[in-house]
Amino acid sequence: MMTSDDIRTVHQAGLRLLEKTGVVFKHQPTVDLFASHGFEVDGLRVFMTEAHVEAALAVVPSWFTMEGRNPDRHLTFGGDHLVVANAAGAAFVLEGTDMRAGTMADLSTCLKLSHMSSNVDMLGNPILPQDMPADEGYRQSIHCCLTMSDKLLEYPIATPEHLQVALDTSEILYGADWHQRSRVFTVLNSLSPLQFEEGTCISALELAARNQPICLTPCVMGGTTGPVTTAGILVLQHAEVMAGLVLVQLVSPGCPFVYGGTSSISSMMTGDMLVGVPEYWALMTATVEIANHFDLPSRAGGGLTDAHLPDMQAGIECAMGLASVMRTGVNFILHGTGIISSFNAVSFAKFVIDDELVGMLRSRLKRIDISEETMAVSVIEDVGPGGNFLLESHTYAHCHDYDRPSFFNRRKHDVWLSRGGLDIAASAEKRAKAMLESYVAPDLDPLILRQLGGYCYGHCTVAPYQAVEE
Amino acid sequence: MALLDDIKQNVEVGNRDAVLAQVQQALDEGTTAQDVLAQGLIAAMDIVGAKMEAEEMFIPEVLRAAKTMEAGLGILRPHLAVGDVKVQGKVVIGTVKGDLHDIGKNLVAMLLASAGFDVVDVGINVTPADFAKHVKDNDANFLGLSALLTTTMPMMKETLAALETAGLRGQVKVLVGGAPVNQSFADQIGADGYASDAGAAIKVAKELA
Ligand code: B12
Repeated sequence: MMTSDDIRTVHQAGLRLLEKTGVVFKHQPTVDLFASHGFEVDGLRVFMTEAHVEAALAVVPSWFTMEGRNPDRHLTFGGDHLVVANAAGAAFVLEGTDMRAGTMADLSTCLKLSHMSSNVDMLGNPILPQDMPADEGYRQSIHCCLTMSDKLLEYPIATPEHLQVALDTSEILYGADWHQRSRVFTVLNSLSPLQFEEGTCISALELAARNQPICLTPCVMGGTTGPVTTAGILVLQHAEVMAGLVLVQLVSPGCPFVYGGTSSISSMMTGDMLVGVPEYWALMTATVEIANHFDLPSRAGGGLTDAHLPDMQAGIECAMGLASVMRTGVNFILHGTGIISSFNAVSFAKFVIDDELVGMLRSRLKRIDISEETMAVSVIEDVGPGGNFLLESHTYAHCHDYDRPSFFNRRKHDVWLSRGGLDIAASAEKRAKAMLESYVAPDLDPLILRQLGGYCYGHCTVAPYQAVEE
Repeated sequence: MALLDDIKQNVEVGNRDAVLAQVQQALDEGTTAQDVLAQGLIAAMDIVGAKMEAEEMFIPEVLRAAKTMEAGLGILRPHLAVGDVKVQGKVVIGTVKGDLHDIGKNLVAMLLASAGFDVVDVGINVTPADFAKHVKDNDANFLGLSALLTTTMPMMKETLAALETAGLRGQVKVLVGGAPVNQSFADQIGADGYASDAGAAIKVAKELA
């Protein structure tokens, strides 16, 4: 745990970087904007003072609500709200030990699982399909995300073309004045150390101009794109988030913003980013603590692992990764379910195991409810020493309180064996199959569905992926 | 010889000052530059390479050793003939168009340099035409392409086509890498080599050299 002194020290160190070293924004109009507000600028490098950061912190909201097409699925970011989204951006699917290229069909499988899950609140675009040309694949993927579930989507925006798709599809879904509310939610990365690339600047400017939330998430890799020490990683990450915050609040004071971080150490043996390690959990905890300190919504952590099987290593790493941030009160978790192999792949079995894990952690985080009724002192008195509670009406009334449907084993060995003696991955596959079979697509206005289809498939050379029949 | 052993050890642990002094001392004592190079500096890097493969030395240590060896070589150079220092090859390396991921590429570049290749790092987001131009301008015999996104992997194929068009394909061995790239993709686009990490990249490059 960080003390408030620790946090202030890290903040001051971050401010020093912003003031003395500055941050490069590889987009002239962004730099011009800073200059026009009186910031010191040298080429593409922008220097920020403590006053600039304070001014941004003073106007940024501490929470905001995203509105989707189903009012029951609006999502609040901030306070003690937790939003969990599934895996995002994986190129591969891991089945058994076999790693294969992800397809549109895999994307559809993931979205169905997310839609059916009661623990996943939000969608990430889970798979980058490799059975499509890239640009068509993008539009078709967005179409699947928007039609196969009415949960809100974390729009993957890496290029100005992607940004346009996000703006256009929002207009189709919500009408011309869609940006009156928070509709498009995206994660933007800095290009560590201390840079923002052109596409990121453009997305930040355009989205902030429409008052849409931005979740700024540096991915500093200790020893390669950041200092090797965790404190150094934290300082660099903090400076970059503050720089992004200042930009967004300049464009649109009061624009919703999320303090994000997914920085970790890298293996000094191979350079690979490590996400299944204690340093990652500590960094993610600290990320949430710093966001909490500044009263900003936070994003950190996830169901991340460096394992290549949904095995015990994966289970340990995910549980530690998720618990670390959930216990600290994180507001948004991307890659909550299904991601494996250090961000590189999706596993359907792991998807449902993580789903279960998130559910268990949510229960775990509830405070033990202390009341007359729950302390049941009078019941204990009535039963007395040596008695039995099974026949008590208190027991009868509460016997379903902790009954969570689960495919984790809770039976004795012989029963477990007689039911197939399955390990967790095999049970998970069965569970995934059942979830997929019960999937029902949510309703969508046929007119909107047609418009979305026209927009996303209009120029496609590859036949549309028919995930949802019109 | 004790002094050469000392040099070897000091290169390995990256003790630059000691190496500079001892290389000079060895020359002063009459050891030939060729011997200092072979039994001191190169012998040290052979051990470093082996230790890296055995996962006993970490990347920052390997890079420090390589820099130390280079410093020692600086003193030897005036005493060596052109052919004495074998350059493994000239490598142009970069990340393909549309892709900004460069950590892996940087590592491969640094480790190739430390293994004796002459490396020209041309950065990120490099177009096929620019790769061809860099190969030509540098008269390279290796080209390293890095891609971390499935959406930018096709650029590797286009870069190969650009080399073909420019009449340069015969002059360079093309190595490809990056998390989503694998051997079968490399074969499919007609690259000459693939490596899954920087250590393997050095091996493959040396085999092709
Ligand atoms: C760090 C990172 C970033 C950083 C990049 C910082 C930088 N300066 O490079 C930031 C945050 C900017 C970033 C941005 C994006 N990223 Co990114 N990123 C990563 C991450 C976590 C680690 C990559 C890395 O550096 N690994 C460490 C190095 C050492 O390993 P390596 O690159 O694989 O290199 C080794 C080998 O592959 C090989 N090698 C590499 N190049 C070469 C070349 C040759 C010639 C040879 C022989 C060998 C070789 O040797 C290297 C050393 O051992 C990966 C996930 C992962 N675990 O791979 C995602 C990942 C690659 N990113 C991804 C995505 C989608 C993006 C974004 C589109 C959006 C996003 N944020 O998610 C943008 C795209 C920006 C762009 N246009 O390029 C996806 C890619 C999916 C895919 N394959 O298509 C991944 C898999 C994560 C995910 N699931 O979302 N990213």
